[in-house]
Amino acid sequence: MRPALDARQQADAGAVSSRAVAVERLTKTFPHGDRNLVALQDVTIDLQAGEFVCIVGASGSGKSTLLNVLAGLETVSSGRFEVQGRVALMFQEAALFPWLTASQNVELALELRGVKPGSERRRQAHDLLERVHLHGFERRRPHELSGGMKQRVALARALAQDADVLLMDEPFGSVDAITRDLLHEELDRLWRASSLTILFVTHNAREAVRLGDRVLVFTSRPGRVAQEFTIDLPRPRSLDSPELAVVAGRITERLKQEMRPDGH
Amino acid sequence: MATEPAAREMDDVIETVEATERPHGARRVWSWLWPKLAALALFIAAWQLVVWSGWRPDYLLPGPLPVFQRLSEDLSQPTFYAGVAVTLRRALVGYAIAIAIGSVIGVLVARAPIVRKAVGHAILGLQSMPSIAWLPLAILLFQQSEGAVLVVVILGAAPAVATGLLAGVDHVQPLLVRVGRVMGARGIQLYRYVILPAALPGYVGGLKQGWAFAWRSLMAAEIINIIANQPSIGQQLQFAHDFADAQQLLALMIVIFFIGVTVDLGFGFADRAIRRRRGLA
Repeated sequence: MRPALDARQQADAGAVSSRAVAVERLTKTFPHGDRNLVALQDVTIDLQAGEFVCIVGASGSGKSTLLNVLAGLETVSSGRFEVQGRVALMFQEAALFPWLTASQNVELALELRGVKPGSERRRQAHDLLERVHLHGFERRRPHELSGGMKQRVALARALAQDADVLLMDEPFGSVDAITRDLLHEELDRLWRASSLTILFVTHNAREAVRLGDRVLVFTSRPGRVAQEFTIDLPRPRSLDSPELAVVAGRITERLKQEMRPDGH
Repeated sequence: MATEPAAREMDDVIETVEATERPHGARRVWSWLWPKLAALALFIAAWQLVVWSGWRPDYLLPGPLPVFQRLSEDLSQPTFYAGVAVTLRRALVGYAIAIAIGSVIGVLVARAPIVRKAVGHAILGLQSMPSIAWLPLAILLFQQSEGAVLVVVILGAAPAVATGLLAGVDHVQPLLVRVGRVMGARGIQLYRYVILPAALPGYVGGLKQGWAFAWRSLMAAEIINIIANQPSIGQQLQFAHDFADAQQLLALMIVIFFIGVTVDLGFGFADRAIRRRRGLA
């Protein structure tokens, strides 16, 4: 925890830029038995403020580790990173607090941010839930919500942190295809209406092309950026459009290449 | 655009709500009550049969009818209520102190790995140790006072409370803690807003077990450690034995059982309410 913050402060001291996220030669190793497992090796990434960048990679490519580092949940082994402003992180599971209602989950994020008084938190939570189309579900408990609705609450909770950078770790990986399509639309809409910078991790190339300005393909063990694709398809995009499928196909091909054991 | 799918998802919700809906009112109470009444009737019948078999004479093992008559007589005696009041006061004071001590120790052990290494096993050992074993020492230290009784109650209940809280904290989903940290909660805040609420089911389990230990420790201590002018239930029980008053003995045992079961029921309801709120039951 502490070294990660130190690294960030160091980076802050010498940085002047419009970059929302700057990652420079970041390496992260985990002790594994009697040797070290390299999760990330020399990863260098820049995100401009307001940019939507997707990372695709097979499981074990260190994508989640990168997000955890950026969120301050993991330390770095070497390298530097810098995040401008507040960071929020969404996980594959909604991870709502089961003892709180939908509204209270959002209100807690507001409270930890210092929003006062309680009536103001309730009002803001109400507005945020409305923004993710959950009007009327404020008093539901998480177990009374479907998977897609839980992720909407989680999104509202992340928005409640008033973050500048939103990190998303396969957030729609466990919802059904139609719900996912809708969540894409809503995320796209929310992002365009805000100044959010989003770093979105997925293993689904089509999802990455649907959402991202750029798509970074990660290699596995150790995780590195293998290739970068700039997506200049007009928005809003459709998951079913042939143009999107063509780009996604190229990315998938690149991914397969990475996943073959001999690398060819 | 998104209202239609929202309606589709709402269908899901209504389904789940209906699936968990339970029967209401008298039917529910009856379906909860009748197996207990049936068990009670069977027990009383068996008791009566043993008495009728002549295994022991009436003055050693009276039948249900004279015992219940004696109980209803007791229930009209002020001294009986004085005894119940003394015992319940000790139980509540001892249990409250045990909760305070057990909770502090539980959090300390959960938070500090060094404390866990040092006393983690000792707490478990203490829990399996019959707390009445502390009574002789407690009498040496506190004389035959209420203090000695409370020591036994506290030592009986506190380890269970600590263990329950510790288990609750240990079983908190790591993901929820990470979410709390991402949301900016640190240290005490993380405990207040995330870890302790998440640990509540385990904690209530510990409180429930702590109560059971407190109650049985208290009875043992009261029977052995008779304090003058304190007509506790345990003391009355011992006196009933001394005067070979078997009817009174059994009537008091029914009271002890009844108090224990009533409190346990309270914990059962609390536990179910918590689990239902979280979708665990």
